[in-house]
Amino acid sequence: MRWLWIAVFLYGTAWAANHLGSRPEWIIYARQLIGESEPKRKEALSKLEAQFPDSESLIRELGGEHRPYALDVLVALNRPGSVDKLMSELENEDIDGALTLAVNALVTNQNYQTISDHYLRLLQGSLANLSTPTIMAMVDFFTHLKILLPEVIYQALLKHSRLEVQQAAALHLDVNLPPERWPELQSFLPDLYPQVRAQIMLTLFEHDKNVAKIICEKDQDPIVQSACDNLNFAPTKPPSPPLPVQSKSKAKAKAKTKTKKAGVEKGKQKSKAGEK
Amino acid sequence: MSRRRRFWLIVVLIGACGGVGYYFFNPQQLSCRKAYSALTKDGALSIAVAFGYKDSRPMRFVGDRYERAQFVDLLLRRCGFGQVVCGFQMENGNPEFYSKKMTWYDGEERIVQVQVLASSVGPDDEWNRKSKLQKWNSDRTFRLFRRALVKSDLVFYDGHSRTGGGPDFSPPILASNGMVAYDHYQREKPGVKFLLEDLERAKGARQPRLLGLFSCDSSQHFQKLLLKAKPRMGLIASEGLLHQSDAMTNMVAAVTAVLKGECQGRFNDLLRSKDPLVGSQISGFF
Repeated sequence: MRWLWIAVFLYGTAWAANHLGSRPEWIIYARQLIGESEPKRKEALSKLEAQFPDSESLIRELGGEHRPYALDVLVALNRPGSVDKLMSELENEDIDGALTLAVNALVTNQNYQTISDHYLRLLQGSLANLSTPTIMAMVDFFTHLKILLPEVIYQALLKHSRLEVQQAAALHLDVNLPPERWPELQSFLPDLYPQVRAQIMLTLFEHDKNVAKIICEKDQDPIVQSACDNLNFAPTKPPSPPLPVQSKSKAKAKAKTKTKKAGVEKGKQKSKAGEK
Repeated sequence: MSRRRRFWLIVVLIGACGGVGYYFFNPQQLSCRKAYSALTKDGALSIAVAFGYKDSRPMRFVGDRYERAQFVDLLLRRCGFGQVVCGFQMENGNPEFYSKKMTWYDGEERIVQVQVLASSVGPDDEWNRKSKLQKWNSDRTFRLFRRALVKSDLVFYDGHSRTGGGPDFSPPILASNGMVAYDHYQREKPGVKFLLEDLERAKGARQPRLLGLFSCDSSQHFQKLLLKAKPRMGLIASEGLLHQSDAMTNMVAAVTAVLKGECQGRFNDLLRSKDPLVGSQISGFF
């Protein structure tokens, strides 16, 4: 009987701890960083700054249940010194890409080369070891910094089985590939999902309407066609050349001749009317 | 067998029979099973999950593409012990649809289909709002979401409430200070206006049987209005501000609870398992 009461007591304590919540105070401020008014956000930021003068304790939180909040706080407090530690955690398991996104947000002129080298090494390795959000976040890093990925990497990304990776690669090329190289992408179209073909068609539309028009005529997939609807493929008329500037005396003489001619025409019309 | 042993064996057997009887025949269990039977009348269950445009103003970052990818990773992973949001395969080469066969709580095999949509085309709000591609994708996702309200058994939205003006699949309308123009959303209610129209039109229809709004303060903003438009629909809503990770946790918990055929008490426990303060709650389904 005594053991039964001990078991009930322990269960009750566990239930209370779970349901009543033992939430650290900093979580409350972390939750105010997004979605709150600017004054509240600033107040939360200053409280967090005071609570975390260095990043060590925040980095320890990365291994626990408060990981998403810890990453938000690291980024909000702008602690680029924590990038090395975050990158070492990347390869373990960044299932939601949040670690990679935090690294991206903490990029500086001093650390971007280190981050870039680290990401290139991972993207050149087996993509199967990386979660999809992590791959996307790495590609977006290069997109944002306007650094074109090596061809072998973006080709592999365009052939990836996941829609989101193909879309991130197409976006990367939209931003970084020189327009004269865009026709190369047509060779990839058959391997792409229709959503990505539509994306590439819309990008080509901005650079070369003729090529976009050909895609719309050939690709009858409903998703591609929905992107083609309402697009105006008419070639844009070049602006008319400006009229040559005339001297004032010449302009006056011209005006006189015009009036004379108009008068002659009117006279002709009157006589014709008379004939009727 | 000694008398004492026989006595305890009888006590254990009576206890076990009582437990089994309670599990299968108590009124709450009966209404719970009725709700799930109504849900899967034609042997299939269709779920639509739409990630709204997840900007983070005043920052430029937009996150719903990553969340969509994370959710699909969960669908495609191999199933571990007790997991049900797993083991799906892409359907017919269409990366917006995933399905699997599963044995339901009643021993019957059913097909579960999940449609997954996202709104943003890039992670930068400033770039997105100037892009023709963004306009097309936002319009398309909104259209498909409205279609899901008519065609799908369960519809889940994970995005912004826009203080009652959501759901929203487009870059937000901004005030002159670069912040979201909440006044506009509160006044015009662009998203919920369409939602109410669609639900009113489908008042007598079976679908959607359950609508989940995993967005900030969704119970305060939407619950009364939506249940008035479609009283027989179940609703999952949240009572507080939600971090994006909380919204994802609650939404996955809701899919898990449905696929396991959980009854109301356990359903709500799952929706609040991470932290009761950021949990969601189901009403009207059972």
